[in-house]
Amino acid sequence: MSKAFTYYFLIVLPTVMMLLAISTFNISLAFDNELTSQISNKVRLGQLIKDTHLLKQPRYQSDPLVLVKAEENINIKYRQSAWYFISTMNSQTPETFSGWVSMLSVRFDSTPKREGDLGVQSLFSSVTHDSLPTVSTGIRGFDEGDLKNAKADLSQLILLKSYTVSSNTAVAFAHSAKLASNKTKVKEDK
Amino acid sequence: MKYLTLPSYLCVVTVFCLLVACKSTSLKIGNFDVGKLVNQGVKVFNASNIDEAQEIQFGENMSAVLLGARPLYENKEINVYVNKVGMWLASNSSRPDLSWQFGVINSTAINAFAAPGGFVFITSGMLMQLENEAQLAAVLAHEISHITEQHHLNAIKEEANRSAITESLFISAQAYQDNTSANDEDKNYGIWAKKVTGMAQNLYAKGLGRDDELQADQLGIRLLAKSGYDAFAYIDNLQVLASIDADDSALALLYQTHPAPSQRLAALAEQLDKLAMNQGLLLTKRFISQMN
Repeated sequence: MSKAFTYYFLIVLPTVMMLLAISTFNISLAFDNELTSQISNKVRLGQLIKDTHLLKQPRYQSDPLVLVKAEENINIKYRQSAWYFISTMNSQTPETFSGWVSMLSVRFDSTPKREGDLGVQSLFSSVTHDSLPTVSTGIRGFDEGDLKNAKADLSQLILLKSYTVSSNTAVAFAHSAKLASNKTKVKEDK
Repeated sequence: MKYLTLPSYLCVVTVFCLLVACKSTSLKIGNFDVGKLVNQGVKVFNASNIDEAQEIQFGENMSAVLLGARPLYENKEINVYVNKVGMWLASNSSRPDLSWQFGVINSTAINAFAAPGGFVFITSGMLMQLENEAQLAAVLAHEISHITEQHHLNAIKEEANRSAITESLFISAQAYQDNTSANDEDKNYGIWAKKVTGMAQNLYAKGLGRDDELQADQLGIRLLAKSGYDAFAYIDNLQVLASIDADDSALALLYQTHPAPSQRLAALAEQLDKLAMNQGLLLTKRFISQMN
């Protein structure tokens, strides 16, 4: 009994606490270093669009783990570059499998269009808590008929002009978030 | 002798300036030089080659039509933020020196538009679907690519050639002048504006060709990567669009004028491999703080 007690308090409990601390630290670190993170952490429901091997690592050369059938329901947990980490949700089998698949192998489940006012807390809520605001703005969309009946509104161009910024302002804005130009060619096919 | 007070002096100077301005251009609305547009407009249709100044004039007028359908979302902070993101992307594009202007259109429709000469618009409905700055940049990068490749301008030229619009404009302008007592510039503007408006309405309602849209995707995702953003946010956007109910009226015009998101995603597959090492940023926190 005392051996089990010692084992629990000296090994298991500290290990669990250490793991919890590391996990909390990682979450905190990811949040603080959001500017340098490229991992999107919003869980979505979806399906695979074709039979796909789950991979151990987010790269094509990685070891395949298991073949998952097309149309199988999945949880899309997070993204790293062009890869989603997913887990299966097959109600027919008790087993669930997790692994990496290419972004283009998945399709998100249908969702209603998000509506609401810009500049309100609802947008923040929708992102952080994954809930969809349902407040309607009452502002209509526009369709072909609206365009065909439109009359040029030159006064709007003056308002538009008032919002412009200089390229120097834009560069300072980019650099403040550590955005930097890289060598990707914009027109490499030409 | 009495001296003018400062307000009176300013008033006199303003009136003098306005008179000088009106004399030079005949017609001004605010700071907008309609007289210049008239001249440019007539020249545009008389010339087979359109220079950059004329391209901008075209864009201004197409934008005026678009904003006549739905006005700008009048929140300066959000519009300026969109301009900063857009201008940063544009400075990394193949036409950094255009006078780029970006605006948020107040509409629940999910869409974005471009007009020749550097005019880019995103609807507030589209903005509401986004979660980070990289996704916003992805939408703008697509539209910027339409402008750098002059897709709208080429479509207008093709339409002009097909319908002999040059000749019809000239004839109708002459007939109008002969049969009315309006001054020449007003007459020219009225007819020209009607033609340009008609073309803009048709172009935005019908959309560009499928090849133009797919090319804007190819160039847009690379522009996103070149500007330091997470290029895969572009794919994110298309997947989110694909997941919204296709019957949603907010998407009607977008689907009418663009290939289906699933087709656009398939066409981008090759780019995904090329950009596999992209380590760009999402900037979720900055986006959220700007939207609140």
